[in-house]
Amino acid sequence: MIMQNTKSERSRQGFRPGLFVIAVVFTVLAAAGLAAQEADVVYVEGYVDTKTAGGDVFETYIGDYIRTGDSIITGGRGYAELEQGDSAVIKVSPDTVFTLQEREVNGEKRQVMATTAGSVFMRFNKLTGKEPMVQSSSYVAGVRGTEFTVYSGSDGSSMILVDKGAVEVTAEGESVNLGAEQGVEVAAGAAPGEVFEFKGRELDFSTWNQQKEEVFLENPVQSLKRVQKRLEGFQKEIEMLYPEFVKRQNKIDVMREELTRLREEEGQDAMIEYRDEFVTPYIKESRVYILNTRYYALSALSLRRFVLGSMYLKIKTAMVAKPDNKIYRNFMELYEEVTDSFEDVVVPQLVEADI
Amino acid sequence: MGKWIAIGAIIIAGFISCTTVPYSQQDFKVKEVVELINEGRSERLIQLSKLPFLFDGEILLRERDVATLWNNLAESGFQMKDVQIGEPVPAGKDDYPPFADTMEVRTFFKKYITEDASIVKINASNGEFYLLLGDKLDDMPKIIGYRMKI
Repeated sequence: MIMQNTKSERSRQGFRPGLFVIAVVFTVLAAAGLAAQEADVVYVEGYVDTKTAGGDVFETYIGDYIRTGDSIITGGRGYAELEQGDSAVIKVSPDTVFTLQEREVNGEKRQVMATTAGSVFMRFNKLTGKEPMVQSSSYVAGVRGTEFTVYSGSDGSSMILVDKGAVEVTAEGESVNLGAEQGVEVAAGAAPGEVFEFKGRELDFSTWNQQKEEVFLENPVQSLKRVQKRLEGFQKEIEMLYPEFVKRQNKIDVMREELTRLREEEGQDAMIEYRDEFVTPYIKESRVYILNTRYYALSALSLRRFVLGSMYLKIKTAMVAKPDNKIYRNFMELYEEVTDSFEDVVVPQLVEADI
Repeated sequence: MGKWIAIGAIIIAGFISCTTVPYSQQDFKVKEVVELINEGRSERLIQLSKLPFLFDGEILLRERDVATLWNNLAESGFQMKDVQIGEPVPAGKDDYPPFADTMEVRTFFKKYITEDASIVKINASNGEFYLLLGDKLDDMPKIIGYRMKI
């Protein structure tokens, strides 16, 4: 058993004051009247940790809840079941990292259920048309169905198996539709593969992941290149959103100063009028830049932490006795390149609470 | 008289150096950790490891990754050869450079190392290594981080 950080009392600071980016996100959510969505922890076995959006890591117990930005991390014998009221059941298998995120799509805030490593079963009891998006290390899926399982392998590839209903899987701009008892595999940085039927086939995560591990060890540089491509996809989105994000941040700052001036010089009514007419609509309109920049930055961090970091660990420790090996050298060279790029593009979007 | 003062000073200096890090992190305990690594005793190392764990510049949050670290090193027969173990020194938030100078590692040192943490440099004929220790389990130090400069 590995020693865990525990907390008897959950520290739920959430977004930390003083961290501007986070503060802006908080302001946007508050202005939009949108509370962070939660899931209740209804069952736990073995060691299960929660890493909160506020950066705390502590052991998870039945009766806890997770909020947007929180991750559930299960140990080797850990297992957790979460519920979102009576609308969804989420079963998190051992050695899994599951995160609740959110992003804006077509003017609407959408919850994203991300499985970066391991395996998660999801069942939606009611279909309302506002189901969350489902994300793995290599694809995003739109839920049109009720029961499915997401696998995220150690080489950055993923698979989705639909038991009931339908799911649309999108990766690298291409989509496939899955019906009941169909599945698809998606390599990191690649479009979805061939749809297959799995009825009657024995498919379990550990066997599948073992195969992925073997593929990775056979050609680690190739696997790393795929993960690099996926990370570059997130980085490209950040680079597109960030200039507008900064522009809007600055304008919101100016508006805040104007609010203070109005309150002090012209009174509360003038301040409220300005807030309702200009500030709140502008913040709502800016939500897409703020939320989505954070979404892509946190997705990149998750991929770096649980896929890239894990790859580095495996290669470094398995090949430590042969540091002059060509594969080892090539892998490390590419790893440096990927982490340098991550440092340049993603890290400026992160705050200490994310780490 | 002068001789006794000198002896006293040496004893006090020795006492002070021993108290800079907790008993469980003193040099003979560090030597035991090094032996565990060199003997490939991965199960014990997994027990002694604390999450989050810092491996080089990577923060490990999963049990599985820490198990992979020690199991892989054991399976590959890895040893730190001809070791010279340095004095464990208290570690604080500014002691990240041996691991990596990145925002993540700086934050790890700020957020996750315990107040009683210490860092030990190990020179070996096959590289330079650092152990980041803190807290204790059965009078042994918990391992918070391991840096392999090979």
